[in-house]
Amino acid sequence: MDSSLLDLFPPILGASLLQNPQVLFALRVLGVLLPAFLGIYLMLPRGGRDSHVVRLFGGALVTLSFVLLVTFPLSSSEGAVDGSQGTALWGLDNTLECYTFHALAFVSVACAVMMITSRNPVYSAIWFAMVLLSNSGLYLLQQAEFLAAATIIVYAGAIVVTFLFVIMLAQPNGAARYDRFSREGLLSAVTGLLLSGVLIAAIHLVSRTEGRAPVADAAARPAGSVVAIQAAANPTSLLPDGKNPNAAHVAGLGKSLFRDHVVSVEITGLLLLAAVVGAMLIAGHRIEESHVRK
Amino acid sequence: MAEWIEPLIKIALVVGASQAAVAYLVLVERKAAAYLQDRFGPNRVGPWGLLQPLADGLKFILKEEIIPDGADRILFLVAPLSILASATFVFATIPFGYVVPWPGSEPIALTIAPNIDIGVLFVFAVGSLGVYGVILGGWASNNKYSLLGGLRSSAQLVSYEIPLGLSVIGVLLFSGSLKMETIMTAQAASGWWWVAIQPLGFVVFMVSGCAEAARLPFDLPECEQELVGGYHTEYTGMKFGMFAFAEYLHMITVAFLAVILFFGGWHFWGLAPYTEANEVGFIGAVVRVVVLNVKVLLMIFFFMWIRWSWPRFRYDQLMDLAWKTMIPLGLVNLVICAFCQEFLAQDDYVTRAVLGWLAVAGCFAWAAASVSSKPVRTVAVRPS
Repeated sequence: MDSSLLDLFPPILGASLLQNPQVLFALRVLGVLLPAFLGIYLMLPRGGRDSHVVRLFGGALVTLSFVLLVTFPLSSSEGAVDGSQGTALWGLDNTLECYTFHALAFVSVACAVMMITSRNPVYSAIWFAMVLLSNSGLYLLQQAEFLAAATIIVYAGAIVVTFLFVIMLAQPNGAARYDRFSREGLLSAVTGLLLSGVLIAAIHLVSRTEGRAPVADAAARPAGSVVAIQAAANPTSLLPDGKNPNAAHVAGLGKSLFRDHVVSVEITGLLLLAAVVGAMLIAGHRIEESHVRK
Repeated sequence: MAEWIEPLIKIALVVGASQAAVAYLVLVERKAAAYLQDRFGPNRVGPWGLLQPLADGLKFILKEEIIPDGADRILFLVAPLSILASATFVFATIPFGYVVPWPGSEPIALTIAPNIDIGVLFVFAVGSLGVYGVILGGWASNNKYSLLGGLRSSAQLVSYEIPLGLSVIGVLLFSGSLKMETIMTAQAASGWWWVAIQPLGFVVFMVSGCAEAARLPFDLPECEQELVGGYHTEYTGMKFGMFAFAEYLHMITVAFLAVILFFGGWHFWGLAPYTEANEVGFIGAVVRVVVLNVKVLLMIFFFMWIRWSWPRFRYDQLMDLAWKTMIPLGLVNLVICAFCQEFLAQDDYVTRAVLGWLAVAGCFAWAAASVSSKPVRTVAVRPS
């Protein structure tokens, strides 16, 4: 898609590694994420009693990592190496918007860390709900109002409540032992480090291409790709974006869903209907069985 | 600077008014209950018991706070906070009037956050977070009855969200928007309240709204005979007060929604007719606020009236009502509304109303036929 992404993995033989900007970039990403990796590894619950000091220290390390990610310039080749790097990274220019974004992002990340490191499944579910709430705050910031409301209604209002239900019904005498510690703490922490490193690198590289999301930009796509064909078929997006920020959001989304993506919507509806009927079938049999007189 | 002050004033107004309203609605409820049962009701504190809410508030604050042994202390405290926060947050998008003219600027909309594109959805989304207070309160109390009450009432709240959402879709179709300001304006401009056109939708909305607010025919959450006090059995003092506050706030929210979605909001023929936002005079603005709030008070009184007219449902009846009655009725209403919107002229309200009431008649006929022909309870016997 972008030449810089291909440049990320050049033949790194010969010249000194540390002068290669791509290697530098990768090293910086890893360096920024290293405290978070250590912190999460420290915070993950072990079998015995966890010390609060260790957990607090881990939390401080994760916070340090977040602050570094926001303020530290990841790639030196970009020119703008001043403190505004963090804001330029996400394409936000308004100061209040920027602060709100960072506050919500931090709450989201912190709650996610608490979710995977808390020992009690009920608390994990609550932290997950907090992650969803702050995420929908982020959606609101991007003017995706419908997505925000749908996230709260569907995820926070129904799915997490079902989680809580299952946890409370399945383990009324407290959580089982296998729910209270993480079995592969080191491996999962390393996986998380690698995954978030790749994601951050990808987002960073994408954000350098004119500060525009590549999916919306048909011209940046190779001709013949699915996205390019779709974009050519629907040249004007009905959703509010940089070009027409005042478009009616929900109405535009509805039109887009039922005009451009009507087949997908119908198929999804059919799938859900099949799932509901299947669930009813299974549940119905059980009720009949339980009502049979012994 | 002014753009900061305006919402702050509105927030202070709405929060203050709703807290005071809750305090006095408790008194109104007790008085109404007393009159329906041929008693006097509270009459010792102040004239006609008018200072009773103050006494209640003092008692809430001064009572000993007890956290039971073995309770999860953090969640025990978080539960009442979360339910009260979500119940209060809902009022951010609920309009309490039309507009107030302001010299030298645009008329001020009487909503804390006006023109949110997802208006009604926001209310449903934030309102659905109240479940957490119920389920966490029940779980954290370390009490079997609390846990059972919490589980059961969260199942009720999650179930009734579906018919609640279905019943509103017809209104949204006719108004063409999710914004509550636009919905009220659409009714005012046409001169028809949607309750006259979609009686079925209104019935489904009222039943589900009653269940969402856990008002009496549906107050399974605190079914005294079976569950002591339900999820707030172990709560004392102000923590219990928060649950009670949230319950009343839920009722006020449902009343506001019913008035805005089905009873024309600030519109009343002759008294507060439709006018453009920038043509409303100061007196007109005040009249509209009064009309809207009187309607809301009447609706709240209707809720209290139901409370003493209708016995509580059994739990299986409650669930059957949601899944087997209210959802189909909501779907019928939705189909009729979609049909009207597609095939009838935009201003042909008479045909729409006729169709809506025909649907009600059809449902009654169907209910009568199915009730008389079916045994009430069936027991399956294994053939052996």
